[in-house]
Amino acid sequence: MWRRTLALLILTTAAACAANTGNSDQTLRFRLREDPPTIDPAFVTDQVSAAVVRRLHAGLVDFDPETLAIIPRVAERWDISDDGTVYTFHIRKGVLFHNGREVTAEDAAWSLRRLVNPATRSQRAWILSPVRGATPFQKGEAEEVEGIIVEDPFTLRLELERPYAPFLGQLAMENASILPRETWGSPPADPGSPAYNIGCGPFHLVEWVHSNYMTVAAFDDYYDGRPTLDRIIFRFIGNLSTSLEEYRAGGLDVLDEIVSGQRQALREQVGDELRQWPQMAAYFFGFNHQVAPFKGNRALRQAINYAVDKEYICRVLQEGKDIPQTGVLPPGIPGYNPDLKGYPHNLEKAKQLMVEAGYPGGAGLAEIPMLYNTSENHQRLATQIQSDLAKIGVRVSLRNLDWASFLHAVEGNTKDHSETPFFRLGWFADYPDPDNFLYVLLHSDNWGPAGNNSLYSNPEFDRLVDEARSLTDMKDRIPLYRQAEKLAVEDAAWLFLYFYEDEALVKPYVRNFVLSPMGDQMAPLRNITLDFH
Amino acid sequence: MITYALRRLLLLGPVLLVVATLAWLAVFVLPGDPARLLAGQTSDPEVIARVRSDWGLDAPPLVQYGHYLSRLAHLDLGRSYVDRRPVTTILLEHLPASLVLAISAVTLALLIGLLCGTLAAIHRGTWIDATVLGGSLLGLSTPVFWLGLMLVLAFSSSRGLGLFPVSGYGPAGAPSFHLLGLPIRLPSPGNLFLPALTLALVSAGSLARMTRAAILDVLRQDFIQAARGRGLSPWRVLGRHALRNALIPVVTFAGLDLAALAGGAIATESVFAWPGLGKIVVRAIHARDLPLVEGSILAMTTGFVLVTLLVDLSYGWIDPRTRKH
Repeated sequence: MWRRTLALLILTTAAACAANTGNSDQTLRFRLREDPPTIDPAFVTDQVSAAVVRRLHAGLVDFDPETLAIIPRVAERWDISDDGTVYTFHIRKGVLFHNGREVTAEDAAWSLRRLVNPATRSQRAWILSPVRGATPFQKGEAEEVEGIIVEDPFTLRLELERPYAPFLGQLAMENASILPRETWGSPPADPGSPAYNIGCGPFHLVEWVHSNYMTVAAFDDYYDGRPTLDRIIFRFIGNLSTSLEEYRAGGLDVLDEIVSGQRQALREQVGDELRQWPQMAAYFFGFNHQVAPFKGNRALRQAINYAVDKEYICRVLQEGKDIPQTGVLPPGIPGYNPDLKGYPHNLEKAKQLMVEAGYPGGAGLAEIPMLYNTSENHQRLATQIQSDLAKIGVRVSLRNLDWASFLHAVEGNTKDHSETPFFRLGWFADYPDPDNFLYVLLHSDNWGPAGNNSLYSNPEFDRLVDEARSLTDMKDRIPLYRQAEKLAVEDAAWLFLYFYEDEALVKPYVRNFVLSPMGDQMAPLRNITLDFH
Repeated sequence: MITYALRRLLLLGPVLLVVATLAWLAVFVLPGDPARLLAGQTSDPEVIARVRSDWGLDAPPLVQYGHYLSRLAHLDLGRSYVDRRPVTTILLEHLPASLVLAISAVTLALLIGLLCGTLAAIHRGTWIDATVLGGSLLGLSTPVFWLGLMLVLAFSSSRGLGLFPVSGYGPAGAPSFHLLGLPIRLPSPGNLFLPALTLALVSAGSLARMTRAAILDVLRQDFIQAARGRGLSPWRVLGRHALRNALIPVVTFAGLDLAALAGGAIATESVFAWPGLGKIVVRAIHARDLPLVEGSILAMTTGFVLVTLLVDLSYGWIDPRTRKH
C-alpha cells in the first residue's frame, strides 16, 4: 500500500513540476529604473515617463519605430498646404478612448490647447509654438489659439505662423497625445489613478503601486487591433546588479540597462539575448565658447579632439558598445553624414595644434576644471580623457557633482552665461529630425538651459539651420544641415566622443521586440508575443 | 510613568520645530535649482521662471520659511514637486514597507544576537565564544549592500539555490487592505526574508557582543551569587536574573536600530528594490524635491522620538527599580 502511495506521490509531484516548467502567459515583465516622474503626457520630459505614456496614449501621428518616418496614428492622413503653413488632419473614425467614447477632432484640439495652455504649466508647450496664436495664448495675451481649428468632427486644421519643417516630428512626441476632455478636464487628487489616465493607446492603466510596479493591460478595442500581449508589468528596480540577477532568475523578460563591466561576460553567457543597436543619441564634452581658454581658440579645441582616443574608449571602456562620434548627427537620423571623419586619434597633429593655439606642450595653459555628473561611467571616461590630454600637456582637474548641482554649475546663475569651461553632456533625440540636434544644441538662439550649453555661436551655422528649418521637403533641408554640421565639426564645437548604442537583454521567447533607434523604452511593445517558456 | 510620557511627548514640539528649521535650511542651501530640474533638460528660461513662481521658489527666503512653518502648523507637509501628490500620502504609502522590514529585521537580530551572545557568555573562553565573537565582528564590518548582493547570489539567483525571489515586495496584483483610506500591502514572506536577514545579520553582531558583555557583567554581581547560593537552577539564574538585568543596553540598542531602520534602510532597499522610505528619500534629494525631503526628515524624527520614548518606557517593565526614577 505504502509503495503505491509513494509512487502516486512521485507521479503527482513530477506532473506538477512538468506543469510548472512551462508558461504561456502573455505578460511581459519590463524593468524601469524608477517610477515614472509623471504619466501626464503634458509633463513628460524623461524616457521613463515616456516609456509608460507611449503605451497608454496615442497622438495624431507617430514615428515608425524602425525607419523613423512619420506615420499615421489617430489621424489616418494629413494634407500640407503648398506654402507649408496649413496642416489638415483627417481623424480616423472608430478610434475609441479606454472609456469607450469615440475620439473626435474636438478631443485633439482640446488636448493640444491643454498642452499650450499657461494654466497647464507644461514644460513642453514649445511643441506647439509654431502654431499661429500659440505664443500669445501661452503668455495669456489671447483667449484662444487661432491656429487650432476644428473643421468638422473628424477634421482638424493647424495653421502655422510660417513654414516649419520639424512640426510633424514634434507632433509625434508623446506630449501631443490625444486625451478625453471629460476625464482630463478635472484633475483628481491622485493623478496616477487608472480612472483618470484614460487615453486611446494600445494599453490601459490597471494599477500603479508606487516604488514597486505598474501594470497596464491590453485595450481590447484599440483601433489597430488588440495587442498580442495581455499585459505589461513595469517593475521599478534601480540597482543594476539586482536587475541583472532578476533577469537571470526569470523575474524580468526584458532588461533595458546593463551594469558596466559585465558586457563581455554576458555576451559569452547569454549570446543573442544581449541585443545592441545604434541609438539617436550622442555623448560629448562641451567647451564653453565664451570663456578662456576655449573662447576664440579653435586650434586648442581641435587639439583636444585629436588627443582623445575615441576608438579606445568605445572598444575598451565601453566594452564594444557605442560608436566613435565623427559629427553632430548620429546614424539613423535623416541627414546623418557617413563621410564625416571627425577627429581620429592623432597625437602628432594634436601637439602641432597646441603650438598653433599658443600653448606649445601645454606651456602657459592653466589647469582646466572638467565637470561631470556623478556616475561610474562618466568618471571612467573623464579619467581617460584626463590621461589622454596629459600627453599633449593639457592638465585637467576632475569635478563630479550630483545632477542638480551639475546643471547649476554648467548653466550658471548669471544672465549671460556660466563660467564653467569644460563639462560632460549627452543628448537623446526627442524626435528624429536633424533640427533636434543642430538647432537645439548649437544654434545661438538656444544659449544656456534651452540646449546650447556650450554657448557656441557661428552666424553662418545659424543662417544655414534657419534656412533648413523653414523648408518642408527633407531632401532640400539635408544639404543645408550637412553644411551646418560640417562647420560645427571644423569649429570643434564640442569634444566629440561617441554615438550611443542602445542595449537590452531580451529573453529568447520574446518575439517581435523592435530595436528602435529611438531607444528600447520608446519602441512599441504591442506586437510582442511570448513563446511557451 | 504617564506624566513622564506626557512630558516627553510635549518635548516633541520644540524638537520638531528645530528639526524642521534645520531640514529647511539644509535643503535650501543645497546647490541646484529645483525649478531647473522640473523644467526638463532643455528649457526656455521663461518656463523655468514660471515653474519657480508656481512653487513659490522665487519668494525671499524668509517668506518661503514662513509659508513652510505655516503649512506645518496646519499639519500640511505640502505637495511633492515631482509627482505632484501630497507628501503625507507618499510617506504613508511607503511607511508600511519600511516598518515591516524594520520590525522583522530587529526581531531577527534580537533572536540571533541574544542567542549567540548568551551562548558566548555561558561558554566564555571556549570555541563557541570565539566563533560568536569572530562572527559578530564579521557582521559588524560587512558593508550591508555587499552582504545583500551576496545573499541574493547565494539564495535567490539562478546560479544559487533559487529559494527566494531576487527583489520586490510580492507578486503584482497581490491583495491590499485599506487603512485611513490608503491601500496597505503586506509583503510576501519570501520577498521579506532576505532583506530582513541582511539588516539583521549586521545588527546581530552588535547585539551579540552587547548581550555577552552585559551577561558577563551581571553574572559577577552579588545577587547572582546569592541566587545560586539559594539553589536556583543555572537556567533559572540565567533566564530570570542575569538575562533580564542584561537586557537594558540590548533593548536600547535594538530600539535605536528599529527607529533608524523605520526611516528607511537605503542600501538594503536599493539592493532588494524594496518600496520603503529610504528609496523615496534618495530620489527626493536627487530631484531637489524639497517638500518631500523636508517631510521625510520630519517623519523620521517623529518616529525616532516616539520609538526612543517606547524604549525608555520599556525600562520600567524590564527593570522595576527604574520606575522610581
